[in-house]
Amino acid sequence: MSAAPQPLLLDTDARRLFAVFHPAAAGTRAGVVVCPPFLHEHALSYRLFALLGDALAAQGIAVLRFDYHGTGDSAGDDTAFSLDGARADAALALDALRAHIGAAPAIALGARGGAFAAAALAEKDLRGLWLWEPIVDGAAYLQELRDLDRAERTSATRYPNGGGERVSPGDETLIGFACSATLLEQLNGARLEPRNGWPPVTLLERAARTTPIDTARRIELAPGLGEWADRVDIDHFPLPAVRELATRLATSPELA
Amino acid sequence: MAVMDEIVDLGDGMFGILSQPPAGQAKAVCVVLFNAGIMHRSGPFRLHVRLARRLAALGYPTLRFDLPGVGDSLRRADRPQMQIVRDVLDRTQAQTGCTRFVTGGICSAADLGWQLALEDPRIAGVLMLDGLARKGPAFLKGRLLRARRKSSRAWLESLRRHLVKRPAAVDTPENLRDWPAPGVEKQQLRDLLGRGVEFFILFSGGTSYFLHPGQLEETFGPAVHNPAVRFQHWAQCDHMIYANADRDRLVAEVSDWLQTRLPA
Repeated sequence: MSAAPQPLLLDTDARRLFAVFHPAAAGTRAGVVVCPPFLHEHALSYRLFALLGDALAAQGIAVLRFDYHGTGDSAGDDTAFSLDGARADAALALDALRAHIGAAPAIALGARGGAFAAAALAEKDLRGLWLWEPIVDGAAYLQELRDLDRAERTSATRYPNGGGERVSPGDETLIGFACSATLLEQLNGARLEPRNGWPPVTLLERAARTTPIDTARRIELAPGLGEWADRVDIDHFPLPAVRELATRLATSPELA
Repeated sequence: MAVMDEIVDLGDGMFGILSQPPAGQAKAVCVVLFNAGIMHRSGPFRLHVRLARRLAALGYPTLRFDLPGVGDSLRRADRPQMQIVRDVLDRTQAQTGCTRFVTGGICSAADLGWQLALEDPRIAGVLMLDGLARKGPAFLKGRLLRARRKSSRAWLESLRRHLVKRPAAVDTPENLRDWPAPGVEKQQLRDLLGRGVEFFILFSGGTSYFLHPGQLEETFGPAVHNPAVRFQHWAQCDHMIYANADRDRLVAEVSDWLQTRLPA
């Protein structure tokens, strides 16, 4: 196991981001900035990326995880979160990572909706992009979220006495979170389309998934690592599988 | 000056986030929120963040942190959980100067808050959201009332599930939760009230074991009528407080309870 992770507050004039830096165990080979997924998926996967950060650090790869403005422990209420804001926050986080790792190569990992934020870093001299079951079509994703939200609100398991469909006047919510019209609009128009100049892309996805992104490298997620993306309730993660994934990532060709 | 979140070192590789009141406005009571199960310190749907910042704005320094094995506390505990949380209080006391604490949270956090109150005299209040409750006659009454509201389709589904042979359930609250032996809680509540501890007890409609408000007195005895016990049953709210409106209401209720019962 590597050194204890270091909590940080990344301060700018307008935004205060909470972040955690996992220092590399010995001799920093590279650094990874983790752009987390959005809304409920952020909390569901939080432990997973904490464990993965630790496991990568043990392999000599420093990791910086952060919460977007308006999410997690960062400043801002829920409605302050937006896609453009997430992209700007990812750039701040990458700068913070580089301040820690110096000249070592940097990689961006984008999970699910976080792929939009990671992709915004693609032309910032990255050694690679690791995309974890990325969302490629924001409008389709938004529809999925709305369907899931409706299912949760009408679920007899969650609400045995009914009541889930109550929404305060003027309150726009998605999977339990208050959200702004700006977020909905930006998500609705978002598409993940690889461009010339992108660094090598590695797709991380479950066996049954086939994300429509052309890439030379694909890593299949072991059982237990990806199912959170289909759920609303939290579960544990298999540590051996997390460590094995870290080993595979640490031997990526772009880090050779 | 606005509320500020600060990172605090809690030792053993743990850290917390302390929402600090505006300068000069801090009260002598600090709130410490425990993890809701394996959900990290932000809480379900960011409830703990919202609650912490609101309480800090009212003058109550509020700490959220990850217990060992949860969220950012990567290592599992190598000593009793009670010892760990008492150390967390020590460090928070040193940081804030507060000598009185309100602790607890949702589900397992409520259980931990209850146990800590029994062991640590610094506990002035306990937040018990879907905490301890026993199944007695009121539970059966609640079950009957719920059954009366079921649609014919739901009845058929229940019948089908009943007819399918299943092994005896092991994941009952009594098996999964760290609760005292049945009946002991009545004396425990009397003792805690005698010590001046305040309680905010809320049950949602999302638990399988609390179906009727009468269960509170059946569980804890007549002491629940003490003014130091504020009790609410939100039958149309789920266990994780999914609806934004419910989280708003919860933050408002807890704020009011603290200001009314622990104003200093």
